[in-house]
Amino acid sequence: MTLQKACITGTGMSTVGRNTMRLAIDHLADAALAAIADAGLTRDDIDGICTYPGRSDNAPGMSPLGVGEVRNALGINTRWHAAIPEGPAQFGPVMSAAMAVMTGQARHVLCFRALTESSSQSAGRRASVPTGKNARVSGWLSWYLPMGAMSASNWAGWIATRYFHEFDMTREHLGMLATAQRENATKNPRALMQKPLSMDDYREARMISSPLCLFDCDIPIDGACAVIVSAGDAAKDCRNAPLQIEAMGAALTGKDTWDQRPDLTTMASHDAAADLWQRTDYKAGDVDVFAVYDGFSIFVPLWMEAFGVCGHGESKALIEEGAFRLDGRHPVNTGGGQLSAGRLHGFGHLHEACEQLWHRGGERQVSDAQVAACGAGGGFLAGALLLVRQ
Amino acid sequence: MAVLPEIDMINEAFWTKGRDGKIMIVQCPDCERFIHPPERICPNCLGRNVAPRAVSGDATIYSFTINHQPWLPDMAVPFALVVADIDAAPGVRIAARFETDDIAEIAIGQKLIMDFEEVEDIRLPFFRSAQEAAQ
Ligand SMILES: [Zn+2]
Repeated sequence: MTLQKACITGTGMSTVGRNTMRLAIDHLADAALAAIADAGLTRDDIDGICTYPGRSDNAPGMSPLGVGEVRNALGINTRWHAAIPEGPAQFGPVMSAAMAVMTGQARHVLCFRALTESSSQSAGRRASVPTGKNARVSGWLSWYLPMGAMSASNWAGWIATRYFHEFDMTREHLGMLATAQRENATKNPRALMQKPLSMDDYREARMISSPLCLFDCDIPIDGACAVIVSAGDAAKDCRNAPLQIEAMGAALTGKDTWDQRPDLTTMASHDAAADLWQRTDYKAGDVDVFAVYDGFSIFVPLWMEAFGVCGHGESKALIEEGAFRLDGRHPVNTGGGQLSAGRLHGFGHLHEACEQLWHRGGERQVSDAQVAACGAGGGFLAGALLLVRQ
Repeated sequence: MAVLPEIDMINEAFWTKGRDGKIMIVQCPDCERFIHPPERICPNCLGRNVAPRAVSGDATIYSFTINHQPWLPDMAVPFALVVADIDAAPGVRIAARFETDDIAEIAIGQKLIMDFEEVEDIRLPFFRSAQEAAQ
């Protein structure tokens, strides 16, 4: 029996903002109902639901909603549900949903991500700093937080410093990426940041964790994004051209750490992307649009090398050439990415890849885009998806 | 306000028994593999005889970052955070603060020694410059 591949049939996004003072469930409902309508479905067609990571109080506003809250609020009855805290990064729910519809557990799965990190930053608590509720930390975080490495910007800083050292990359290169993504954001009405960013702005920005400055770090927001993953045969009846999940990559070598990977100029992204290419006849050269995780700007060159767009350490030349720009050979993060559109934890990237494949990109549309490669996660977290318009 | 690790039977030696520039790293006596973060079972040979062993904290900077952002209300910045290869324990890196007089001169390859700060029941490792210590 050959399993028919799953497809993405609809997407939805709430208004993304800072300090919206709106409840997470209001953002989520906006995104979920838009995605269901986009697919040409109704609530009653949704028989599966999945999210990453599930409800979590670990860091403020990082994951206010689990599948339970969303099922309850939207009155959805399901044949299959799951939350994926440990898996192929923020694409865990999409991959799990794909496997669920391929094996007949569900027909249409609502995958979602909701965050209220912006409005949750108060009383000295910062978004993405997992201070938790307990006095002491355990698990992998316990090897960083007590040592003073409180923020992912510190861990990404180590990756960047080592990469700079080995491959002569400089802050100018990351600046070129950040400013180009901002340019893309100004063509994306959904993007949080709409003001152009100049290289001078970038150079003068305050340092967060060297060599990463403010504009190398993504932006905590309030918002939600939803994606409908449908069974291949069911997708044909939906409103949009089905976007087939041609291949998925979730491989991971080594331990779940940010510092022990033998070569810190690579990440789990390299494992996941290599595995993805093992599962398809498509090649990196066939990809029209890339949507890769940019929690920090340094992840972009690593993801592009992971996908095999160029060799290890060769991104520098492509950045100098402008290859990753909207009008370049390998357009990346065409909606602004998390650096400029806001931190929707990979779901924003997936949303933008779908916009491009459905040719809804407006001013930022990549001409006749048919194939998109998406990568989520940094460090030891990675999931990769290859989407092909049917 | 320091964020401290939760102590368990597997990590207790690392967090509480560092002394005199030496850190307790778990090693498998059967295959000699050093295991960090520590585990109960050797991931190489699956042996269960793993035990913490005092290892010189002398190390070499593999990478570093200077943190400029106060992530907690009372965090004094800037400070250096290094990922350092432990010279006597191949394959083991420790990520920790680096207390140095010259934050601008930090470089990959720089030689370090280990020191400890006592916070509650924890002996928190941090690095110093081997060169500064020798002066
Ligand atoms: Zn062993």
